[in-house]
Amino acid sequence: MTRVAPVPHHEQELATGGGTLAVANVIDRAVGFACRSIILLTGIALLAILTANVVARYVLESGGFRFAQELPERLFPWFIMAGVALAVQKGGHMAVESVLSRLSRNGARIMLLVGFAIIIASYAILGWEALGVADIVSIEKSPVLGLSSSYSYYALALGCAAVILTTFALALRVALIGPEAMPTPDPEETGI
Amino acid sequence: MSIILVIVFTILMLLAIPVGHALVIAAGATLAWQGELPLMIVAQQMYQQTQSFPMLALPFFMMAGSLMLGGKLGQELLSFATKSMQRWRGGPLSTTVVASVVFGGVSGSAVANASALGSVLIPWQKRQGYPAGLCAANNATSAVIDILIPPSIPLILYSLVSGVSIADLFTAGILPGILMAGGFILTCSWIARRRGIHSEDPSVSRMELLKLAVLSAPALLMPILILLGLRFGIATPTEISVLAVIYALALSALFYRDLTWQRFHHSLIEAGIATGVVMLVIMGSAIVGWILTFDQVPTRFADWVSTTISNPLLVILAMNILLLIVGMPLDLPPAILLLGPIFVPLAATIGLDPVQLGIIMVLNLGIGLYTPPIGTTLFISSSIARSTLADTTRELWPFFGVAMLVLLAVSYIPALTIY
Repeated sequence: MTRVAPVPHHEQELATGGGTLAVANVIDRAVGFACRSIILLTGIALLAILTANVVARYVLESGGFRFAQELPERLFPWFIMAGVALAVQKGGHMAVESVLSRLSRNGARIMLLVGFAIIIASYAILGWEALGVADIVSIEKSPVLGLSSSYSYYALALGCAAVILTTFALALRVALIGPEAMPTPDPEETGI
Repeated sequence: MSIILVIVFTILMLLAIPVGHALVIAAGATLAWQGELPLMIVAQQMYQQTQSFPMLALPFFMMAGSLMLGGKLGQELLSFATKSMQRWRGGPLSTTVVASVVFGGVSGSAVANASALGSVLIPWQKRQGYPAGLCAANNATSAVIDILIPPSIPLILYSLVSGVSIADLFTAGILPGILMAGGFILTCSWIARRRGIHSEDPSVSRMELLKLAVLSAPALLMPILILLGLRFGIATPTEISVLAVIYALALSALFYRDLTWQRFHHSLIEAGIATGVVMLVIMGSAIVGWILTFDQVPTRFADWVSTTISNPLLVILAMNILLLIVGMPLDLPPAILLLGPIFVPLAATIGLDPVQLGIIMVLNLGIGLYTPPIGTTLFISSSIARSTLADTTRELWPFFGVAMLVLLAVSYIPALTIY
């Protein structure tokens, strides 16, 4: 289930935190800016292409644009992976916290850090594998625009890198401040 | 291989690792343990899901909902629901139910609905003399009506795993949604009568109500336009979702005149994050599904159930019980994506229509969002109402009973979903 507890006031603690917390802030700002920019750019492009295609289907004799399926398929992975990383930053991913909520503050801190370590290691492997597949499929081109399938795998690999960085920043906060440093999402950001 | 998968997934869930990550990691760990299959399968399966054109509908339906509800239109809708219900006994409580139906036609998310409606309506209901626990229980249960009224994000997810048309699912969800709303309104009225709570708000004139209906009409029309667009093949579900965004933008800019770059930016980013959350679960479920299929689990499960339980009615009952249990700890998207591929072949063996199964699954797992002791809308509503979980749970049972009756009806009366 989604975390819905009241937001702790860790922002003030962050402001007075040392250099380590400053590193976490820099990582969050950089990843956040990059992900928000990608969502905006790809989102607007997807909106424009798909709208134009519906209009073109009823206006043009050709019945729409031939690239209208290809380009969204290449852009959507970037939109998704930016959303995945931003959701990590905002605490949007749903977790079952029944055990965590029964632990002491220190116990919860250790448990969260173990979880972060598992996520970082796993996404490092996944990102590496995605780059491997990107290499293999680089010769596959889309029929109309000739776009390589690698682009989508690069989105996956870069998304993994963003998840690793964001999780690392979260881990720094939890290690220094405690479990209350975990972000609480807006309900609108959970998607159900 | 599947047993290792289940064990690793359970451990990761207990470690409070988010479900999407847990699915991806558990599947990767299972493949690594098996040793003969390459880990690249994880990346390939994740990539495959990002290439699904119908899934592009997710962010745009979310964005349309956010754009419409975040501005003046949301306020007009709420005013319409409030004023139209306040003359009836239990009206303030029923307002949440009616608002869930009309908001459901715009948004596709029960959790967002519970938060948006609860934060406005619960304080007002408390001032009218309704206990905090009752307001929270009513809000937690009514919010789930949202996912039965088109556009519905869980129904889009079910269409992904079942191959059933989104138009058929959207159409099938309407009657159960209205049935549930009717049942909840009667429950609200019954509770208010039993406790002798009277509304203190003056009743509104028909003219005022008509004016509010006209102002809300663009949003009330949206589910109808979506269904017409899909039914008459004017556009694909993805294109309809994009047109819904354009419709919301046009209304906001031209009719309500409250469109700003900030609102557009906020809606798109919010939709991006929500899509990231749901798509990670979809990607993780795809790898898990691949492993389960590799082990022939769905086929074996269907064979086992059909030989063990011969009566189709009992099979449906067993599916419902399993869904209720799974729906308590697990959120809707992973539950649909994990159980869908197992239940669809099982439904085929007993002659259960996949459209009917989809509504059963979404309705049942929706109930899981407020089934004590854990549930997302239950927690959100209790938190907004400042009610203890025990108080909310005590007030929840009449609503829970109605929801179970609707679930039973949907499970055993095909005419409610297939028409």
